[in-house]
Amino acid sequence: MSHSSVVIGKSRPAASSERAEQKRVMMQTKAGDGALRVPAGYGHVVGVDIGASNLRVALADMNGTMLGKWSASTKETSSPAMVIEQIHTGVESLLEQACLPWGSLLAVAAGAPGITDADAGVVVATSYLRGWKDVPLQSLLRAALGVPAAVENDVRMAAIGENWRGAARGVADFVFLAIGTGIAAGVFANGRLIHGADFAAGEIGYMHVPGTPEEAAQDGAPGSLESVIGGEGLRQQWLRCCTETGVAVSRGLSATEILERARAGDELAAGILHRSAKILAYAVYNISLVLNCKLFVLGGGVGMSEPLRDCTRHFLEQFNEPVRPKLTISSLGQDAQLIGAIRLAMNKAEARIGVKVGG
Amino acid sequence: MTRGIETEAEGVVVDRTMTKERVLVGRPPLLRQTNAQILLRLLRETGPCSKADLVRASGLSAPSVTNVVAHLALAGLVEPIGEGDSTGGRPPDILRFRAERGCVGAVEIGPDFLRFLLADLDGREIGKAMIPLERPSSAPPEVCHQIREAVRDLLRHQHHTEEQLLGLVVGVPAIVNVREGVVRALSALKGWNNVPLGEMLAKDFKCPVTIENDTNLAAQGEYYRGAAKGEKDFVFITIGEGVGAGIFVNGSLYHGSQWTAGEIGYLRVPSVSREHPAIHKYGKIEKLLGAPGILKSWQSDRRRSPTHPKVKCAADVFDLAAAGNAEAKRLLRQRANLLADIVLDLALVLNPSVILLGGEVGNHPRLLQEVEELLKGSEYPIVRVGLSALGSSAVLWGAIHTALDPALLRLLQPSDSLA
Repeated sequence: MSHSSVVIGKSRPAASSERAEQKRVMMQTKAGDGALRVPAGYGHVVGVDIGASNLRVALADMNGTMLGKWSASTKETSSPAMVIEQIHTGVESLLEQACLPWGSLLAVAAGAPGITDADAGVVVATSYLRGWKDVPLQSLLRAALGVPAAVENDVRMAAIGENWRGAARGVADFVFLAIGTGIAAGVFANGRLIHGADFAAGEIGYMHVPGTPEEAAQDGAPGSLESVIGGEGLRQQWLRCCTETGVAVSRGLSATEILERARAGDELAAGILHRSAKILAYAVYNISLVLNCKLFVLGGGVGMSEPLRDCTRHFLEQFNEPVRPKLTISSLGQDAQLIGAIRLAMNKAEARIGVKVGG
Repeated sequence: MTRGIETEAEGVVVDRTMTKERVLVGRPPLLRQTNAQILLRLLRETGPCSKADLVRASGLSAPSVTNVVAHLALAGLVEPIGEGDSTGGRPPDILRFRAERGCVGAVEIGPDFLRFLLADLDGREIGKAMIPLERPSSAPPEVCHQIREAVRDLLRHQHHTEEQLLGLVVGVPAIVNVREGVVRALSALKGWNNVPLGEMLAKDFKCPVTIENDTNLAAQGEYYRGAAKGEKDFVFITIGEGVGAGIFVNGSLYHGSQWTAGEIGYLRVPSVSREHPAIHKYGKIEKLLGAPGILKSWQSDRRRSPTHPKVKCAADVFDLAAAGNAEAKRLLRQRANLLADIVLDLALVLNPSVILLGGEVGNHPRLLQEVEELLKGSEYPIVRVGLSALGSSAVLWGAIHTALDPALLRLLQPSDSLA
């Protein structure tokens, strides 16, 4: 099969002249290993992060260099049609800012906060966005933007990002642990994402480890692990402590603020940090046993907390087991999802034009 | 494309180019090999048929089929068996797969036995054997000697030459570096630390020898011909003397970054912390859940109340529970709790379509029933749990199927690359 054969949806003369052009630019950038490469400016991709409260869109060239970011709130506009419209607006404004025509767009990829069937391109279920169910996000995006689209669960998207340009760069086996309101894991095994039979691999919020609550959670309530480590769980524990001890001040602290307080020497906060870190250490240890995985990348609002990482490390050392996984904080932070989406969109673009691209 | 693999100080294997997929270029030899595999599979699945049938079923062109069949005949893998019924013209030649062209061997090193299975290229049994192992004095060279003699005997009995043995796969109850054929540590036997078993056995056989963890092989067996047929993501848990799991991800066995994926005997779960806090000091729930642990619990109960019936093995205790013995029921419930915790962890991390239970203890229907009941009470819509279909022969069959595909592939390779 020839490398430069795939140009879809164009008239034959247009396609063949485009092909000639493509061949010309690529021949100029033939790399040392003989592989053809697309110059960064040949086309562009869009990465989208659909969050519970924010929508973020990023435009990048084919080196994966971000050219611009755009964001909007999804609080008022949570229906799929409205979110798609927002994405369209975002892409339009980003292209305009970069003085690029629509035609330079090659592909788009979006991460969604819920169970996502990456093969079929469908968001199966999410407890955010007012409960999307079976939303064919991939075909909606393709229809709205006119380019090939890919979708993935947001945590796995962040794992792709960390694997490409973050704390797990090039590591074939690692776990990305996203700890925000809840907790979930994106798992790379042999250099590929694990999705599981129903695209629910890594949904560890209901995991039981020593110290997690024993009674079954109510329908819709956070799972046992989530209720201890998740941001909401941390705040609830803090509120309970405040009430029990009669401390009325600073009841409204955020989870990260509570963890920072623990580091500053606040005993109440330190108690919460210890309990959470110990349970997180059990979870990390168990997952590392099952998968034989040595690297854990911590992300998300709570996961990025240094006191939590340090305290969890301490407990992992105390277990004194031969298996001692390495904990490291995400180096991409909030951008992990967006960067993962850009990488996935670049893969899509590569498939479309039939060549490998830089980055 | 160059693939740069390097190892960092902490042993994290780094593959700098792993996000890019290797582009396979369809050169003629590779295409012919792929087509040959397609035709072989058709012949194996449907039985003898004509070239025209192969053209229809494979979608390949008639000249391609003729070309590939000639290649297969040259490799001794197909032969004409006479003429079929004519539909008007010249009666077609009927072709068959020559499963007897060669054979593959499976060896299982157990705690106190060696088991052998020989199968033809269609994966049909042609012979088996079992000999006792004198534990714990069986040093690696002695075991190798026993394996060599037993496999030779088996081949001779089945009138096969040693040249016909195209692959040998050995299952070991230990962590195994499969790529290098090294057995890390085998606790049941003495002197089995970092044994280059693959290398040792390769001297005795003319065919490639592969060493693999026994639980992983059992999972392979269930995948190819047991209870996990067609399941791309599943877990096989074995509970016998020890506890372990074989993990299938994306349609293939997952070994982890240092060959220890599925070492669930060391998990930390709430039911153990609650009832046996001291256990975690040894880091082993295996000691509770394995057959010796169950027997030990039962014996110590018996010492307290001598009216307890005597048992010979762990499964007997579960049989007593099934018959209504209150003490046995309590013990069963406790173990089921522990197993349910393990199943839940595996299900949440891996989201398998099924978790199979096997091994002397794991394969007991009463244990499965208890675990299913406990899982029903959990808050999360949980995984299907089932029993192993192959029982004690799962390891051997997994070894046979591990050996088969590479053996066929080697026969299909152009002869110049065989050298």
